[in-house]
Amino acid sequence: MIASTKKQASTQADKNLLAIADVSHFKRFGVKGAKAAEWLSGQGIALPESNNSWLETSSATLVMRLGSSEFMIESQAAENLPTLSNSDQFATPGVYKVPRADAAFIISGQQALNLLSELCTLDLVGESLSENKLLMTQIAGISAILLKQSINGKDAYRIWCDGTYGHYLWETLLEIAMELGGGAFEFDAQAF
Amino acid sequence: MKLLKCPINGVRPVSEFIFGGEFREMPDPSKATDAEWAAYVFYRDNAPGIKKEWWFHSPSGTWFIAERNTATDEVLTTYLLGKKQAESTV
Repeated sequence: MIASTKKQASTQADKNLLAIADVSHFKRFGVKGAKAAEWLSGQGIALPESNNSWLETSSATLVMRLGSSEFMIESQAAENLPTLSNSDQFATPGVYKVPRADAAFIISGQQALNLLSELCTLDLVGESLSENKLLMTQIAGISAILLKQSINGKDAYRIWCDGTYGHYLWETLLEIAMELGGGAFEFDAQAF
Repeated sequence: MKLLKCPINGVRPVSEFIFGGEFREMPDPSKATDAEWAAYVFYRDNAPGIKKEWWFHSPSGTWFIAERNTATDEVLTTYLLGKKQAESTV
């Protein structure tokens, strides 16, 4: 979605200080309804037990529980996601497809918390993001989902927001990242 | 910074919330008189005091009830509709 990623990546940027990546192209899928949990379990997908929490499956798929009966599932590979066509919705009462057109970003590096502290009113240093918790809050004034994940042993912060805000949030993140000595990088699961 | 406690997501800046108006019990449309229905639809009691209000936590899409003293702007408690026993205070 963000075409300027490569162009704006600075050769001066230090990935260890602060790296931001646009991962809006990851595949994601939303499902909600009274029987959503049952349906996902039937697809062989492990589910977080409590609201506002997440887990990562063995196939590196993120499963987020956004409410008692609403889920978002994301993976780099489409084959890891279940499919629910529009016709299936009528054949499976209590299970509804939620189209997701989120913009998604990953932030990592020593300055990641400093960047987020400029954009988010919550104190993220404490326990708020521990134990696979996710937050639904405002970042840079827009509603977003935020969680902390370990990628290659390093803390990384994942952000999702409505896709129509994607360009704004990317520009905001990038501006602060560059001020802090970081910049934009392409996401590589092995080396990010 | 003013704070409000969402029953699901915890204490957040009030800027994350949207006011949804006073919570009022709806009379049974099949039994209410025209005068009672008109009062429900059109009349509002703006006298200061403790009111039940609808509030919406925008990032998570959570509607809940806040009991707020509109004279002092003190929020006494917040809870999901029908779940006052699990109430919480700010």
